[in-house]
Amino acid sequence: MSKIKKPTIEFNNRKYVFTIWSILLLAIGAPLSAYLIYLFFDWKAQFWLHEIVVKQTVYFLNIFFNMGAKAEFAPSGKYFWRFSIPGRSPIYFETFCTGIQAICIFAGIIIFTPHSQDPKTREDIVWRKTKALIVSSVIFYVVNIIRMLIQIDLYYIGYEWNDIHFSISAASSFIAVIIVILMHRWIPEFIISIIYTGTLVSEPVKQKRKKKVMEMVESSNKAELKQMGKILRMEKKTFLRDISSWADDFGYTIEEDYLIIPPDKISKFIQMLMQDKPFKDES
Amino acid sequence: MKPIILKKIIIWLLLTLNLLFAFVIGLTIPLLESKSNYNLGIVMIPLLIILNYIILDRFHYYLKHIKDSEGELDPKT
Repeated sequence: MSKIKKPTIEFNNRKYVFTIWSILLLAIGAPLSAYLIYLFFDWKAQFWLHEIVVKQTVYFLNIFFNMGAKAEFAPSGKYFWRFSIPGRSPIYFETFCTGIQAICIFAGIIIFTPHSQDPKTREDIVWRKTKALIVSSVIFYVVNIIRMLIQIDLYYIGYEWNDIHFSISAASSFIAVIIVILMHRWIPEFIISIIYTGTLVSEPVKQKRKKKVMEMVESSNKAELKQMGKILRMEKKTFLRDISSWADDFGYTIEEDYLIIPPDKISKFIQMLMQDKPFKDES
Repeated sequence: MKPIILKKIIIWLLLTLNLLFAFVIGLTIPLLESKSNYNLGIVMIPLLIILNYIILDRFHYYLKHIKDSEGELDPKT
């Protein structure tokens, strides 16, 4: 991999170049840290978070729906807190109800998103990451409280808990899409690092293809049209039309499935073929 | 308004919010019924200290860029 020239992706006038280690660190570090942060908050010593979420939810339930709900401390099972709803059986609160799992996933991704090697691009990365982390956590927290308010009110007016719990919880996860869009605004490094990984993987294949074409042209003055279409990134639908007009522009001819290069143009053909963007500068 | 003054106000607001958040944590801890109520502070205060550093670092970033742009406008200085 070290022999391959590192690709550079340009986006919004910034350059993005990543090391392979930083991309590997994202792939391993993000899920691992998300899981560890979740375990930390699932630990008994961190159940203050349960209390805060339960009490805030009860506060808003009583303000908006005037239902007389209560937060009860019941340390009998694995978890300690429950909602007491008048006329209905209590709802036990667990770590998943805090929404911390969504915050953990995004925290893991944000923390381990690779930094570009370009000094100008990475200059304010810590600030951008912090902004993304705080905004995504606050949005998840608020949406989670709103989700519980809707669910508990529906439960209070008579719906069965099993009917509303999973459906509304799943529906509220749409917010993750909004967070990804927001995250891309502040730290485009995440999406770009995924594209970058694809580029790194495809680069050896491209080099091999170019080498194959070069060897064929050197030995027989011709190249396979199919290979040329892939090198020039032509669309399959308009391939035949595009390749013939492209060949005319450069003074090449087409015979059956082959591109024929005149002997005096072979060295120029190879030079243009081996460029980072083949045939782009001269077209 | 000069850009530096605006940036100063933003930084001042962020630091104030940070301090207010620390104050709210301190106010909340004695009200919690959980046995582990002090852990709220143990977890959140180090995060606020890190945030404080990041805000100050941002101020340094603003100053550096304003200084650089002034240097470009007046190459003699």
